Amino acid sequence: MIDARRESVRERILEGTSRAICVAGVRRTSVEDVARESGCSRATIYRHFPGGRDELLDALVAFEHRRFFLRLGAAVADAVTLEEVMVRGLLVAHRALAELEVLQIVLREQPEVLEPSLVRTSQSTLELVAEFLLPYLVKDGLGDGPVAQRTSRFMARMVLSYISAPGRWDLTDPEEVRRLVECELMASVRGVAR
Amino acid sequence: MIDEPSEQGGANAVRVVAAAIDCIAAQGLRRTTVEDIAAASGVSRATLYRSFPGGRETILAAVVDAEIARLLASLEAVVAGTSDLRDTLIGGIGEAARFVATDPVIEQLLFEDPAVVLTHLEFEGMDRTLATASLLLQPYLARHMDGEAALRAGEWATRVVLSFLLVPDDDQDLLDRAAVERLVDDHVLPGIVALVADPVRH
Repeated sequence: MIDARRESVRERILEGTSRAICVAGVRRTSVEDVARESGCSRATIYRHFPGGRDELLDALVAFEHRRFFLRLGAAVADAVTLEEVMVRGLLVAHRALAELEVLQIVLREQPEVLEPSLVRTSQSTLELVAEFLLPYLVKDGLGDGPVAQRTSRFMARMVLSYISAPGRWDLTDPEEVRRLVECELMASVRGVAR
Repeated sequence: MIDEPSEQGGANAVRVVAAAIDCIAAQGLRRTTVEDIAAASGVSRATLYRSFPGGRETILAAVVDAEIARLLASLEAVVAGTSDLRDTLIGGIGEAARFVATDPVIEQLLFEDPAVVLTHLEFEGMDRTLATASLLLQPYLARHMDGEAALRAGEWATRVVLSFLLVPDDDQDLLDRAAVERLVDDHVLPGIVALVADPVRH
């Protein structure tokens, strides 16, 4: 109960931080601005984020990152096949990333804020996506042993690669995403010796 | 102040990056300062900052670019000597892993300050690296498929290598030839075969 309230205050503060940055940019956002946007006092903000502005920025990046994957998870939750998961996942992830204005602003103005969290989250993000894909691979006939585990991690690598850099593929076009999933991702699952 | 001709500026930038690589290899990334790089390159601090207004961070970004160019050149040397598509892929992926594991500067960049490499290679930076690598690999892959498919196949193989470079996997050590062969047979090659056979392509 107390934890849940604590969480919701943290969330309110971080949402306020995000709004403040979208209005004024990273450099010109102060703890006072966050207080005004979130409707919390400065004392409350410092109680939840003793490190002040720097800690707020760090926490904001982690918060947006988590929200992004929750959104992605919700978008693919009712997909039945592996193909569908990947087509929908790539389309939604690409759009959601483009819409994450606050992270674009941070990346542009103060990339060093993003660096530690990128390093920290790369491995755990990979595991998270792999875990999500695993049951679909099991259902696809790969068994539930090391082959399916390895394949799920490979698929996770490739999905994350396309999300962060589309390269020659137009990820706003559902037809092209379908082709990408069919020719590269699904083909590289079917190639696994069963 | 009079600006130097841009050709001179370009030559200075090349000297600064080469000096930065020497400093990092000799004394490590953390202990390399802008002063060290200026001294080793023989250009003044003022000139250095004219080429790299962002200072240390922008020099390091240029070092990452230079190291990627060296990696691609060593890849090209290996794939040029292969004729079978499977051998090209196995040789190229193995060489990329070997280069990364034995190059002192890449090791410093990846393990002392991974943030420099990561921010540089994520998003726009990664798109640029994919484009460069796929163009470079195209002629070798085009021996086995048409030009457009070769570009996409090169990009696909590059994604695989970059991913393992950024987030290594204990279970799939790419320095182990058997692991590379399995990766190519299970995943990389089937992705390329399906791409070439795709009826939608024109």
